[in-house]
Amino acid sequence: MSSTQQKSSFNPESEVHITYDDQQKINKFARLNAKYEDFKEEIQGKKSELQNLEDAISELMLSDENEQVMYSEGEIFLYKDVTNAQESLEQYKNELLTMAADIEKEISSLKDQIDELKAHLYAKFGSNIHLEMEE
Amino acid sequence: MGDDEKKVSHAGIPPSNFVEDVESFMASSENGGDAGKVLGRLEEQHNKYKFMELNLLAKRKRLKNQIPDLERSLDMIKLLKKHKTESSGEKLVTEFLLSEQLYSKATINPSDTVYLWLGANVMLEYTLDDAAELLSNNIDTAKKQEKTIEEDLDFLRDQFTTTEVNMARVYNWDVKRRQAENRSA
Repeated sequence: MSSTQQKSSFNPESEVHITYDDQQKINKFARLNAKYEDFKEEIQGKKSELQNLEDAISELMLSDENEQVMYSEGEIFLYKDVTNAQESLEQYKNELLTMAADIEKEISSLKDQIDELKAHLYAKFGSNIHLEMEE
Repeated sequence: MGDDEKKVSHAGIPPSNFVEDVESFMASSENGGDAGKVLGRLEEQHNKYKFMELNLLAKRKRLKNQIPDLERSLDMIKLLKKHKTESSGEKLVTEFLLSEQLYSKATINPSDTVYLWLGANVMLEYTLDDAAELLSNNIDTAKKQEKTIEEDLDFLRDQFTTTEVNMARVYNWDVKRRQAENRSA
C-alpha cells in the first residue's frame, strides 16, 4: 500500500512565522509526495511485468517454430503457434513500454516540482522543517 | 483565519482551518488559552481524517483491482471478435480454469454472443458489440470514480497536513508560554 506517512514535520522550537501561503505550499508538498510514492509503486509493477515478458520472449526463441504453446490470456490459456505467440508478446511489450515511459515522465515532473517546493520551504524554514522522504 | 471559500466541504470531509496567528487563536473564547484542550481537539480531528483516509484508500484499492478485471473481459471479447472475423470456422482451443487447481480443455466455436455476469446470480446474453460497449462503459465509470477518489484524497491530505501543522504550532506556543512563565516566576 502507498505510504501515507506525513513527510513534513515542524520543530517546535521554530521561531519563524507560518503564513497561509506557506501552509498551502506545505500541503502541496505533501500531496505531490503522496503521488510520487503511488507512481513509484506503479512503475515497479510495470517493470516486473516487463521482466516477465522478456523472459517469455527469450524462452520462445528457443522453442521449435512448429510447436504450439499455451498463451495466458485473461483467465484462460490459449493455444497459439510460436510465431503468433511471439507477435502477441511483442505487441504487449510495446504497450507496456509506452505506459512505463508515461509513468517515468510523470515521476520526473513530480520530482522537479517537489524539489522546487523543497528548496523554497527550506530557504524559509531552514532546519526547522523536515521534508525528507523515508526510504 | 484562512479564506472562507475553503470551508465548502468536499464529499462530506470537514475542512481544517488554517490558523493565521496562534496567539489570537488561543485567546479566543472557545480555546481560552488551554493548550491541552486544543491539542486534544486537534488530535481527535486528525484521527477522524486518518480514518476517512483509510476508507478512501480501501475504496481506491477495490477499484484498482476491478478495472484490470473489466479490461481483461474486454480483451477476451476483442479476441472472440477477431476470431469470428478472421478464422474460417475453425475452433479456438483453450484451457480454462475449472477450479483453482484444475484446468480443462475447451474448444470455442466462432460465436456472435457472450454471456456477461451481471451479479445477483444473473447472466445475460449479449452480442459481442453490445458486450464490448457495456464493458467499456463500466471501465469509464470505474475510472471516473477512481479520479473522484483521488481528488477527495488530495483534499483530505491537505486537511490533515494543515491539522498537523496547527498541532505543532499550538504545542510550540504552549512551550514558549511556559518558558515565559518560568522566567517571570
